[in-house]
Amino acid sequence: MTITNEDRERYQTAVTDFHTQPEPDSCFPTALKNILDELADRKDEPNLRYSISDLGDALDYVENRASASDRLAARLDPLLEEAGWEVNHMTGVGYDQLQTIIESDDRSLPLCEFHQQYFEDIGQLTDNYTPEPGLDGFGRWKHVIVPFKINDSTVLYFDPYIQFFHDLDTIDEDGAMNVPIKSFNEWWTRPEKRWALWLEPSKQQTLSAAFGDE
Amino acid sequence: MVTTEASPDDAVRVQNPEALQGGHAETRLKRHLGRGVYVHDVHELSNGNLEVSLGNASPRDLSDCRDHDNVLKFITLRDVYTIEAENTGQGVYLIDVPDRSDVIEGIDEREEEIREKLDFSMAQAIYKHVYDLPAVRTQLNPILQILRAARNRRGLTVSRIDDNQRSKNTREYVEMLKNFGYIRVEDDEILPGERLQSADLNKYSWDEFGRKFLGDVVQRGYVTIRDELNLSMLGHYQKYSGAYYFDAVQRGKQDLWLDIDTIADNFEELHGERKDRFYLQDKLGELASVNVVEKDGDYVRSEEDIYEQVARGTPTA
Repeated sequence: MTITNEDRERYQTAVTDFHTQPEPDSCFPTALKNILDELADRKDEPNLRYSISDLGDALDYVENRASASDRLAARLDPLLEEAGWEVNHMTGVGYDQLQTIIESDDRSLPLCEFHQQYFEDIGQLTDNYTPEPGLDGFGRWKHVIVPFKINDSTVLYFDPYIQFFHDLDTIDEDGAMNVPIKSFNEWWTRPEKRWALWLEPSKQQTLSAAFGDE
Repeated sequence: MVTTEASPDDAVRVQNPEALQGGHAETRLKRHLGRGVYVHDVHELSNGNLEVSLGNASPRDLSDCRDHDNVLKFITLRDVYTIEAENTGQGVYLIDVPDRSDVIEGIDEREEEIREKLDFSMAQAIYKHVYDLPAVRTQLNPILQILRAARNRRGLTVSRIDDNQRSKNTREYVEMLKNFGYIRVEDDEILPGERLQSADLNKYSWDEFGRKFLGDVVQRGYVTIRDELNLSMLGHYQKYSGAYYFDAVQRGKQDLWLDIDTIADNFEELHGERKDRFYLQDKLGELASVNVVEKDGDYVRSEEDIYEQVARGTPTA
């Protein structure tokens, strides 16, 4: 199984509509906005559309102080309720599970968090941007990325900093980060073991449907 | 596929203090406090508890506007907040997760401290340069007149200054110069103070005297002069050069080129006010004329000696 031109095309199509993060520290609310928009388009569900600033409020985003990422159900489910969706996240996600989430029509695209080692390694993988450490390194910043495709040997994903520094129209297909699964694994496994977040139809909704309430 | 997660009200349990940095407890703190927060230092207190000092990292676009090198620099600030982890005596420490707003307040304060230091070291680095700008000279002239009168023992008296005040601050200048030891007042007459007496005044020309001693006064009394004596021109120019040097020093790159729009963004971030680009062009042009910055069309970069002085005086964490 290889990453096909079709996969790349899907990546390009989705990513071209992705919003650029307004600030270098707003990766999380912006990534959420992007997976929500992609889902809203796919499901034709306008109630899933929120502005980056609405999502930032829900995540207690403060400029240059990033956002919180605990109690995610309490923070986000009230926004998703009306559309019948809810947020899910867990650690220990397997690669086949991640692939299932990516391919499932009933789930949003997932978000993953990378270990700061990513910033040390990325210079060898792309010259689209250069992370430089401060006096205390990268402060173990957890970078949020959106994976699009996994196969036996590589992972294709969206790194929002590339879009932050470049107009996406000027990025050719190399703009899609396509890295060996071994490297991806190293970044994704620390400090929390393979944490991912995605949206699913809410259980309530599923139950209501099952009991014919709707 | 759902996990339950700890509430911020639950204390974080830590068994191995050495594993705090980059470990599970730090992850809990990051989730609640922001992904930039990190454990900077841990040490044991005499009561057996642990003192956990937090830092904060914030990514900043510090690209060279001319080379387009797309640099994302992680600005780290140390000692933004301290937590005391309770030793339960059973090989377990308990950390209460602080409020996010309290930690943000700590980061704000630390950042403000650094900005103050930038402002001060900027003022010190550029003073002797901006002294040549007419607006600065005009405003500092009363101080210079008092210094010169003292140097030459012209018989200037405090009551004459009172009668003849050209600025409502003149009397305050006398007080400040007296406090710093540049002048003394005897029988109402203004005479040279220790600092003027100890210097070999003959070695300074008329112009050099002003530059040397006013520079001196500014270094000693910068905060008083700026905040209490309303000499706004002194706080004026380093705001503009600071909006450039802020990034150069944080990036640690003396030959960093920034464009006017980036400097306008920095000015707004530092002083909460948006300046028109033509106005900024003008100010930076003035500063370039006295070698505080180097300017090439829309681009600005450091003068090496100024950069070194500002970098020395501004902490980067």
